[in-house]
Amino acid sequence: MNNFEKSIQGKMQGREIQPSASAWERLSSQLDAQEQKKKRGWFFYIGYAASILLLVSLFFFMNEEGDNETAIPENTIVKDDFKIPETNQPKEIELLPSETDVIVENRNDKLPVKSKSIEPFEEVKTDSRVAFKKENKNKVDKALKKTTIIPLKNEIVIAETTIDVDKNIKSTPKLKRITNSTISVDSDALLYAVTHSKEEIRSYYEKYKVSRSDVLKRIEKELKRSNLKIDPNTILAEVERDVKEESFQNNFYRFIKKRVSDVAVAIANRNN
Amino acid sequence: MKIIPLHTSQKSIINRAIQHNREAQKEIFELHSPKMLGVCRQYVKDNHHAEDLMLSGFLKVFTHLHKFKHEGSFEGWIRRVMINTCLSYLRKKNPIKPTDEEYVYHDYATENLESTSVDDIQKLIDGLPEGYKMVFNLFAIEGYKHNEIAEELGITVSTSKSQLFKARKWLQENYRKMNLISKGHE
Repeated sequence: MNNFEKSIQGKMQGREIQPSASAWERLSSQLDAQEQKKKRGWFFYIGYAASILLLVSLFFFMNEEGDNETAIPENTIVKDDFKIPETNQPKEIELLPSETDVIVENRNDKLPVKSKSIEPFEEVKTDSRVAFKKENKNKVDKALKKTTIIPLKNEIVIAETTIDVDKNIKSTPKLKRITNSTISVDSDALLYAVTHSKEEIRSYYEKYKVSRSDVLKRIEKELKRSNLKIDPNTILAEVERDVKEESFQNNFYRFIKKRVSDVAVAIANRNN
Repeated sequence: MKIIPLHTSQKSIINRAIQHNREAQKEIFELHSPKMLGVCRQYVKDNHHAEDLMLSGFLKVFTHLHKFKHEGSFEGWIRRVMINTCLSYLRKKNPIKPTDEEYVYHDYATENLESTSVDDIQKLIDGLPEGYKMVFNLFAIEGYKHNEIAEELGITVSTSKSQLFKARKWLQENYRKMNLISKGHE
């Protein structure tokens, strides 16, 4: 550095220029703006972090729920005996132990029947073809008595009455556990029991010299003609359920033919 | 009368300023701003522009105040921040084009500037081309070495030397012209 530069340095290095009066105010406002930006930035980062955390936890929460859902089928127990009965199989009447009503279920109709009194059974309209007979009240009582109710802790075990079509009524002590506290009674068995007894039908056949096997063959023939794939035994059971002495007195086979055509019409209506 | 040691007082002010204490910041500003405005004025031609650069420099000072380790001069640290602010601004405005030309050193500067006012010297410096001005200010006024200037401006040492040589020659010639004009007026 020569003299020229040294003399410039000496004059310029310690030089002072007074800033304007508003200089500090301007700087102060700039500092305020910067601090606010910093604070806002901090809050924004916290906000972003919280949002990301929320999304991640939601994602895991949903995944866990999904896993639980998939785990459910592993714990389900499939009961083979919980099948819906076929049309030719006897149906059940559900008795609710907590209530006094008995629900008589046949096809789609449900009618309440009080278990204490036998009177409501007169109101049961299970099918237009099934006529209820007052004289068979005692038989209903018997049928209900056959239905034994065995309480087991909180569950109710009931002996189910089923119908064997060929052998008329047969009580099968088939134990069934009902966890939802309902009592099931076979509706067909009950209806059959309130209309005819095995002996009564047999007496009709003997009295009017009608062979049961012939009747069965006739039904089978009529079913073939009507192009219906129904077990003839089922139809015979239906016929025997509704049959009256007058039917035997008149033309019994015409009565059977009418029953088969009625069934055909009923099936056609149901399909529609 | 209570005497508070200067360095203790300065340290406490700096610490309060770090905590965004506006009073402490104002105190630092009022103490150093006249000198710093003088520094900034060396690089730009008018006071308003220099003040803007100075405020920008003080904003950096207060933002990075926690980085000051109390090892050197606080004024020197602020001064360096101001110079860097001015250089950044000038480099953005007019990028330096380094010219690696050889130069031969001749000592033309024999004149004594004792009788020349600060304003006249500033006018001379203001007339320097930007590249010459930066090197001259850093070398002659701030006392930087050529390697420091080269590092600061991103040029080679020889470029820094050649720029200084040209700046010196330009100033001497213009100083003589200025003296002749003033003598002529008299």
